[in-house]
Amino acid sequence: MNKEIIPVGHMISVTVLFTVGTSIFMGLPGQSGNSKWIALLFAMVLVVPLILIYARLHVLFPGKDLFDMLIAVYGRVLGRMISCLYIWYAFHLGALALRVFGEFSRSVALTETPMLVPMLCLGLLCIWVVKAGIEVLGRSAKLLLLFTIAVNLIIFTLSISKLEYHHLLPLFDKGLQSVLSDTMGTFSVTFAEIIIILGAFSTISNKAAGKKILFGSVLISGMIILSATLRNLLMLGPEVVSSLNFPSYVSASRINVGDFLSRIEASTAVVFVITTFIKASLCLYVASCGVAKVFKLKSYRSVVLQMGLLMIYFADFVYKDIMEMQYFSYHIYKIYAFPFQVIIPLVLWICAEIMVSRSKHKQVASQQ
Amino acid sequence: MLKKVILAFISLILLISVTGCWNYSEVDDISIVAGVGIDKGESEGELSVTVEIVDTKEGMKSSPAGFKILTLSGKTIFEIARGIISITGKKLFWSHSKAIVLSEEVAREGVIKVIDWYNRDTETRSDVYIFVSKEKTAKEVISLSSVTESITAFALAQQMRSEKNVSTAPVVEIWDFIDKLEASGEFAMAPLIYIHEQNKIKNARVSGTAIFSMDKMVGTISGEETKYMLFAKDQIQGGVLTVNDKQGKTAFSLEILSNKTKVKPVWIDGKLQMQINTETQVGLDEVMTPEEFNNINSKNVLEERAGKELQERILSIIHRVQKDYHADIFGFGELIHERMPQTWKKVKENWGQEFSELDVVVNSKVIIKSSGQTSRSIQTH
Repeated sequence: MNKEIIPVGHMISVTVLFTVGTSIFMGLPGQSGNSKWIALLFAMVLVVPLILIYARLHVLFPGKDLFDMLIAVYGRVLGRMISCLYIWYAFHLGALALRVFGEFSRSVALTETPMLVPMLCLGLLCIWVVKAGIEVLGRSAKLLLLFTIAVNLIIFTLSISKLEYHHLLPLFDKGLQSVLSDTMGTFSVTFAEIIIILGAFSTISNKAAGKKILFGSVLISGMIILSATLRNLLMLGPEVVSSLNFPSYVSASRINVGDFLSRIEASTAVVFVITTFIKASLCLYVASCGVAKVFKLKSYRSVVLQMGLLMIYFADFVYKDIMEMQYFSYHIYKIYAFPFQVIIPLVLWICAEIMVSRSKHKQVASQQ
Repeated sequence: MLKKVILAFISLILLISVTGCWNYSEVDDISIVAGVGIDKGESEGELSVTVEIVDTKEGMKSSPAGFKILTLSGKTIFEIARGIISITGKKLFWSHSKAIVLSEEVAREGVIKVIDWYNRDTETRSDVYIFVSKEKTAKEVISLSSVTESITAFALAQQMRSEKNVSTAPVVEIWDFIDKLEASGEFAMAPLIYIHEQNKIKNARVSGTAIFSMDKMVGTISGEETKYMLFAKDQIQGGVLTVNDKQGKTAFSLEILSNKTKVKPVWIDGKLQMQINTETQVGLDEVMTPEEFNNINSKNVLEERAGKELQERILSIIHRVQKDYHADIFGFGELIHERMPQTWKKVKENWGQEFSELDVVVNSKVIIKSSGQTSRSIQTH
């Protein structure tokens, strides 16, 4: 298998766009009303130990990805079985991202076009970029990240006059409990999904770069999501935000600068296409890599097209409608994803530490 | 050879992608809706929707575009919206519509059933202005022809944009209206619309406010009262403030340049009190009496009297809304919710009643910034 290496900056861009993902348009789980942004900050804090574990795994197994680690620690059979779970997780996550895009275009942008069509367009693009290799994905992500930040900044600036700061009061309106529940939700739909990035960690050469990449991207993506969340909240108010399927789209539609610069919401959807594209591509890459590792293929490229087409088709029937999608991503997903995001990596890390210290022990013993 | 065959094949496949847009429609296949009026239908439980459609045919002849009025009854708004196609033959295009007028009857029965479609559907935009017709139906308002623009709904939108110079009606877009319906501790309102008749020419006039309790209209206040209501809400941007002379006759006009209202809930002797402080910058624009405005001292006297009168008028409209409608259009509840969350938990269940018993204190200050081109009143000798 030929080795692909991408620079740290590119990897950060991919991770940021991946983490921002669909939440920039769907919004965050919103039981806590106007304290959502606090939940987001809590989630950023909560993800720190998790990141340390991921980064430590990278130090323990330099140049290896998630599947190599699983196989190395749990052995051939069990390792492969757990790898299959992660292949499923990446595959499913990519399909969900595509589906959110499909729902968006069906309910807002292209209401009369069958949902499969926009998903197919984006999906084929994902297949193409993954086949071209992770270097291409990294380079495009770097450019697209700048674009995303620029669009976000522009929208934020244009909406300043419509922000109503009193929506922030009173803090913790719905009680601390709902904030904590939202923290878990936000944690699982945004930052904790970084576990997928671990599947692409074999492409980083530098052993110490793991921490830098993960912290940097959590910080940047946190800022992007925070700005979007605050903008929606202050512009629309907590009650309205909770009723909307795509709050960012609606808040952009309220922008009206001197009756001249208005109706710009469709342009803001570009950002959504970008983040979905990167997210689905990375998921596809990781799923294909996983398949290649489990079945000892020469290159992951041979399965990209198949996996990609399956992903698109799966996205088409994974939910019945948009209500089901919302219910799944706000209520079920946090429970469903918890083992993938926290439990398995935690166990993996503990086992890896034991294994490494044992082998060091052996080395010392054999030297003596 | 094989290469050429493959190339030809690929070119053929490419043809599929150039068949055009999925749901492509020409401008002359759609009818552009300018405004909507919603009335009760003839039979029980039915609604009747009147749409004002921009007549694009006339516009071609470089004369100002005309309009056409269509009315249809049905059980739901969306049913009617689609049903109209059976009259026009063209699909209606909603995103350019500017005004939605509800008849008083519909407003009193509850507006959720008529505005949800407008807020939910993706063909419509939720930044249209909402009005309540003080005439019998919304249809007669929407069918009027206007003075300045050829299309009534566009004229109404223009009025709303200039409303800040008059301040006799609130400017409410439909999303704002729904926002107020959903926010706890705040009640919705909408501007009233009349037919102003003169020389047998009828025009639409916007003045006054319809007050809603939950989603049902409970009453109205006049244009003059609306102005003072907007003072209490800190939404005044312009308009005219009249002041009496010593004898109690209206003699001065002050143009409102800017206004700042601060509302603060406080506990006084175990009772909740709303303290409203307004500070208004005005320019003196009209003096209808030869006396009373001659020197710097008279300016101070006038400022004081203006402040006192403003204070009384704001208080009287608050008392009227408290007494007659029990609807907190001033957003006091929202303020208590924000500043005193603990207190709000206790009062929110019964806020309508609590609001009508709320103690309100108003303190107004008027500052005259200029006196126009002349420095004193016109003197008679």
